[in-house]
Amino acid sequence: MAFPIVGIVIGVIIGYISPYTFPSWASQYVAIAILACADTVLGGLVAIMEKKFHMGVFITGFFTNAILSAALVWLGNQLSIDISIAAVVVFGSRMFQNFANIRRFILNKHEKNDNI
Amino acid sequence: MIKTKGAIGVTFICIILGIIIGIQAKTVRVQTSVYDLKRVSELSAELTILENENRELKSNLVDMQNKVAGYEKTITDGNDSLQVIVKNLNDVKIEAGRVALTGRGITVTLNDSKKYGSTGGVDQNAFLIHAEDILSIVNELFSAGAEAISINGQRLVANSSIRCAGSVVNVNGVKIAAPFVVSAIGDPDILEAALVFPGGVVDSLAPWGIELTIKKQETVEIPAYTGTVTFKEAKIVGTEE
Repeated sequence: MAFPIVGIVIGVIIGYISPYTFPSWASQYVAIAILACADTVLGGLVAIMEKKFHMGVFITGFFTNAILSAALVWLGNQLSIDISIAAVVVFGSRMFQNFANIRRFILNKHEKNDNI
Repeated sequence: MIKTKGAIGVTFICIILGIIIGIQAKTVRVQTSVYDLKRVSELSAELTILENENRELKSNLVDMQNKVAGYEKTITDGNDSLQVIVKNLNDVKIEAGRVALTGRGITVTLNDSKKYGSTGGVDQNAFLIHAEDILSIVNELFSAGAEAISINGQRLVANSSIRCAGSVVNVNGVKIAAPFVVSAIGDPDILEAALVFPGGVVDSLAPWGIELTIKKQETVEIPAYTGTVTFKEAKIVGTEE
């Protein structure tokens, strides 16, 4: 459970001290892609706990979700609809749901029957 | 087995996600510093410097003008032909608005309506004074024979402009705000009549509650025009090369 958190911290440090920045036009797509990725990671953690984890599904989900959400935002920009709001709402609620599942799983580790 | 493999995969992906988040955070920070912070703070600092410079230059200008007036006086002492020339010069200066004038006249004070923001359903802009309102007052005064007009100390000359500039009004390129004081030299009775006749300017502003007071005065002081007019393109007909 601690590894993903350590991974995120290491990644943020690497990313922050690296000399690269995204081009300014890309940052809105990256922002929404980050949300999609974070959702995938939480989903993956839940899958591990429920012993349903599948590496291929996880990896492909990570990248395709990111690309799809960025593409949707791009499409929204072309049509002048703020689709990023929809993405934020969907991924946000899913992240909370996944997080709630993780929390329950950890709390109920020793009392398998209590699944409130 | 699933657990270890999964943990490795998730950790790996988390590192990638972290890198993206880190770069994105840096990108956003750079952007804000470039587009917002730099603009606001630096531009406002620049503005303050320029405003100070402007003020200094204006006080310099007044000094110089006083000096020139002094020189004119010393030169013309005891010289008749020069005195005629300087008299002509003064006439031209009066026409160009280059000297402060005093005389009988009126002052018109305008203030935004107290109804602004309190009555719903109507365009609130109607309760504010616009550049057009001031312009129509100035028009009436000039056509009624006003000899010199100033708005909040800004002398109107041939090149003057009265423009809307957002929440303020731009006169001679200087921003002024309500209350507006329009001073005019001329026959007070005629000037007042030019504004208050039925269907006139005062009538058209009254329904909106715009506060407008006209005062006839024995002495109205109108300052000189302090700006510069340059003639780059214009040449006197017959002298162009």
